[in-house]
Amino acid sequence: MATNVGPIYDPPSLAHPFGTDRLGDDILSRTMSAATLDVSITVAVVLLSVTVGTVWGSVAGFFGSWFDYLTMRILELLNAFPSLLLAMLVIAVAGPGLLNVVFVVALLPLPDYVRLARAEVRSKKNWQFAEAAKLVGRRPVGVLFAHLVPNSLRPLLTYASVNASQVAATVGALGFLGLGIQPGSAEWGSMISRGQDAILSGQWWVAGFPGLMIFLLAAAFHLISDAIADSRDQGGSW
Amino acid sequence: MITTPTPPVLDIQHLHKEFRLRGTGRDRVLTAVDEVSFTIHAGQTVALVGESGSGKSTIARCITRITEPTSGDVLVEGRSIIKMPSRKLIDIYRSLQMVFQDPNSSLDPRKTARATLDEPLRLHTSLTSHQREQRIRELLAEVDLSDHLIDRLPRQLSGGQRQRLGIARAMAVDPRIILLDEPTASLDVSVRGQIIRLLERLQENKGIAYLFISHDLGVVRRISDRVLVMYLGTIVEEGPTEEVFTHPVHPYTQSLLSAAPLVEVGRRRERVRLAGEIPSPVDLPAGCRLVGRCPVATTACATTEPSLLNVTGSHRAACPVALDMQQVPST
Repeated sequence: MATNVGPIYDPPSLAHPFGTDRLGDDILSRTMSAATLDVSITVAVVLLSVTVGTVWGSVAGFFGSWFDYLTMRILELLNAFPSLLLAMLVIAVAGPGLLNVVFVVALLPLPDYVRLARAEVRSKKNWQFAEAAKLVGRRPVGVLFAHLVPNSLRPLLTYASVNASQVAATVGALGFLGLGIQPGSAEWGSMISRGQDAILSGQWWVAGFPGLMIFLLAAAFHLISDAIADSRDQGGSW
Repeated sequence: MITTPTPPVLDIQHLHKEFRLRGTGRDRVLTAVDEVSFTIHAGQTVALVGESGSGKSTIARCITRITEPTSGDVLVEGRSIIKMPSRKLIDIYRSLQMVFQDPNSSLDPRKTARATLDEPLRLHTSLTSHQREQRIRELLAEVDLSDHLIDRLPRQLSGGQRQRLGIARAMAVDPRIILLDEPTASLDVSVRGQIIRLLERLQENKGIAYLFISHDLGVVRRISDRVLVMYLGTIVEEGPTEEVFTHPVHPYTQSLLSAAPLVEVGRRRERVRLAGEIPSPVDLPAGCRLVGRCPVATTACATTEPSLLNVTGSHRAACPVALDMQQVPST
């Protein structure tokens, strides 16, 4: 990252379209560099959470009994904590770092994915195509993963795209609190944090543009979820 | 056709299924299938008829162990499947298959026709992918589905095409017996005849036995060798199809046949009416299940449950009163 490329607290201009911060760093280039990090953390978090949640929830919903009971109690435990507080707590213990952030933020929406997958599979496991799959020679695990899970994915993915916008905001929030990845690296949340004092003294662009980026990323994920919902209405293959 | 020396492909012995209904106070017992026994021989079609709620579908579900029976035994080609661990059932499903009532829900909505037919071949045979592809096309041809439908999803097929695909799936492993659970009930009348003709042709070509569950008496009379009449979980009358249709003995069978508009009964017959509705199968009383609705019931009917009695040959009916009435004019 180039530092001190211009005057400090320079307002948006042709040379620096987003202005510069108190170190003279160009906000536009830091914002762009942060985009790679924020988008990939968000996508990694959602993929991890949706995968683990789908497998866990569908197994619990399909086999029921003690595993389902245990699952529900664990979810209640997770939900009993305010989610951001839980994330801060875990990072305070585990220490900051890219992987820790991904795992911790993935934990937050996990109960939702588990519940959703569990409910979908429970509602479909007595459908005739699941019974027919048994007669075709599938063992229970085969019925679950070859038939029930593929037919449960649409609501999960619809939710995932909505959830991705919340994840983007949470990643930003952790960065803002200095609990994200390495302090100093370009990340929208930590950039807002760096610019928060400047807002009061009139340099709105330092925190404003990274904030706008978080908003745009969240909005983009919402558009994806709308598109998925539309394709469902039109009877698309999913 | 009726009695062959070979062992039956399907032998149902005292099949019994109860559901416990949890409620306030004591649990109540719903008897869906009560001590039902019958056999089906190779290449034979046995029809199971009766009102909705008489336990017809539960019998099919117990035979395949989709639902676990409470007691009794099911022998498929001489092998008992009731005590078999469920992971061994895959061998049974090579001889025993089922066509479901509603192809809209029994086909996986996300699997193409090819994937639907490939699945049983992959799980039951050691064919190479090329051989399986060939077999899939054969199967489609056997059920009169043209090749270009092979990559269609169920929702891109018509109701009749879906049921043909359901039949092809059941045929994929060359079973000895197929349970047909009202295979035409969800189809348009115009398509029903085609499906029935298809089933008849497949039986002629391959010698498959059918358990045909239906309340369409016209179709039953046309395709089945024997008929079992069910009422509230028990068989009240059984016999060769023509015999039962022309000389029904049990008052319930008489009422069922006289209520069917499509059946030509051959001679003018009084409409036999039963009073009331089919009673609840929960906490069944002692005695004959039809007693409250029966035109010929006597006081004895309310206390002793009738068993199946011989009428002629293999024709049996569970009504001593009606049997007595039959025998009076013939002597």
